Order: sequence, then C-alpha cells, then structure tokens
Amino acid sequence: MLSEKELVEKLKSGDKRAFETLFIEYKDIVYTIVCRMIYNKNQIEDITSDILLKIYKNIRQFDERAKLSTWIYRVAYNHCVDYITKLKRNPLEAYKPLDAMFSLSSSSPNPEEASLKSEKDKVLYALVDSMPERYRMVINFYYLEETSYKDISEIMGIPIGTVKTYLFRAKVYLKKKMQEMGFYERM
Amino acid sequence: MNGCREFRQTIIRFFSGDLAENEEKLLNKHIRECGRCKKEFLFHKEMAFMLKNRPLSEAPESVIEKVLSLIPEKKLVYAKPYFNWRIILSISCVAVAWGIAVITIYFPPPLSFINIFVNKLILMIIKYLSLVKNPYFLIGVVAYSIVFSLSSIFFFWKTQVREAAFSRI
Ligand SMILES: [Zn+2]
Repeated sequence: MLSEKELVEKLKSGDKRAFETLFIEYKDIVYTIVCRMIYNKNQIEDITSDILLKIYKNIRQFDERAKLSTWIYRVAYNHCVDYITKLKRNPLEAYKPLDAMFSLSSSSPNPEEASLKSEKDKVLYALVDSMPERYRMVINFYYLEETSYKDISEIMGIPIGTVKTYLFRAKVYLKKKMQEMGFYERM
Repeated sequence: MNGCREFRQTIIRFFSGDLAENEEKLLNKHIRECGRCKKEFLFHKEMAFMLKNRPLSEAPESVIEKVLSLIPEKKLVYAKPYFNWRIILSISCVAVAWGIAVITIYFPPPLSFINIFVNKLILMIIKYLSLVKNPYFLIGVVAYSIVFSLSSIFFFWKTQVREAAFSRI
C-alpha cells in the first residue's frame, strides 16, 4: 500500500495507475456525496464521473499539507453546488427537496406500525435528505468518515462556528420530526 | 425543570464532540439522576449511531471506466510554472547572441580584440574553420542565433502544447 504522500506524488506526475487506485478508493464516497446533494437521480453517475475527472485535471492544485480526502470532498461539494445553481436558473428542471419525504410517507402511512429498526433508519435518512442543503450536508459530512469541524468548514467554505450551529440545529430538527412521526414519545 | 432544558442542549453538543471535560461530568451526573434527560440522551445516542452507520451508496464501475478512458496512458511531462529557468536561460542566450550580432555589425571588433578575449582554443577552431577572416562570419553568427531562437520558441511551444493537452481533457 502506498502512503498518501507517495500516492499524491504519483498522481501529480500523471500516473494513470495511481488515479485508478484513487478512484477505486473514493468512488463510493464521491457517489454518496452526489446522491445526498442532487435529487435528479439520472444525473448522479455523470456528475460523479465529472467530479473524478475534475480531480484528475486539478490534482496539481492540491496542497500536500492538506488532507487529500478533505480536498476531494471539497471538489465534489463545489461541483454539486455549481450543478444545483445551474439547475435553479432553469425553472423546468428545478429540484424538489421534499420528494424523498413524499415517497416515504406514501409507502408507510402509519409510523407506529413501522416498528422495524430498518424503518426507523429509513425515516431518519429521508428526514436528513429533506433538510435544506447546508444543514443536510453538514450532517452528512460530519458522519461521513468522521470528518472534523475544521474539515467541514474547509469543504463547504463556511466558518467553523457556522458548522457547529448548523449541526446543532439539524439535530434539533431531526429530533422534533422523529417525535412528530411517532418514533419517540415526547420528552 | 429549568436545568433540564439546558441539559437537552448539552446532550446534543455531547454527540457533536463539543463538550468541555467539566461539562461532560455535570451531564453524566444529571443523567444518572433525571430519567427524562436519560431518555433524551439515549435518543441522541441512537440517532448518532444511525447517522454514522448510514451505508454509502455503491457507485457503478462504469463511473471509473468512463473517466479512465479519458486519461492518457503515457505519463505526461508537465510544464513547470510559466517562467522556469530553462525558458529564462534560452531567452537570455538568444538576446546575448542577437546583441553580439548587432554590435559586431555596427562596431566590427579588430582581430586583436578577439585575440585577447576569445579563448585560444575557440580561436584555433575558428581559424581552423577559417571563419574569422571570412566576411561571412557575421552571417554565421546571425544564422546561428536564428536557429537558436527557433529552437527555443519550439521548446516553449512544445511545453505549452503539453500543458494545453493536459488541461483539455
Ligand atoms: Zn433532566
């Protein structure tokens, strides 16, 4: 196994095998970031490929003093933000953040009956997916491979204090919604 | 239950790894005493667990294949920053060559001048090639510098082409 430093050296020299190694390691995580940011499901594969290509093209801009994973997440995040911004300019393609919630409530109309643990997971994940982008992504990045506040602040380009605030509010929101849906008694 | 309201916030911050040691101790103590806050604690504990264990979506192999097909097999030699030493060196060599050529056109140096300053070995070679006494010596210098200019422009162009090929992908 290559160390991160050796891998980065090879990547910067344009070694195709090194890129293959990197892509295999990061494809699922980049794909997941895209899935959790973009609601247009038939675009996810293309967007993921575009991000990997962007990583290849811009690898020389990566500063070795930083964490490679943080840099990759940032490339992915910014690419998705650009994509969403473009979509918003086109009202016909405007995305619907609450889709996940609608499909969920129709499949399980009675949350009290849905006592299976997996059902609880699904509800929670759908709630996360229905949150506004910044709250959603703070929560997602925080639990993705244990990313630190500092890393999240670098990835999303927001101050650490804001990351903490978003994370706090997101958790309050999730708790409230889970209670409303009957998964927990009111405390 | 005023204290409880504060502890609800502390619990959330606890699961964001954001508590000072003494805050953690206070929270621990309160949870042991207060059933409702314990419940709240367990709720957030489970939620954190579920969020942490949310499975990654699996990307299809085609995602990588598509990108790899666009990456050239051969290692690319990247141009260093725009003004690297080779470019500066070749540009100054050309400038010096042109300078000498121009100066010698207007102020042709006497042979004795060349005798003093030009290395004896070079002089021997020049004499051997009978260039010094040849009126076409200056033409030789000019021709040489033109070739030098063209080759450095070519070198410069080649690195730019490589750079362009790299950024086009
Ligand atoms: Zn309490």
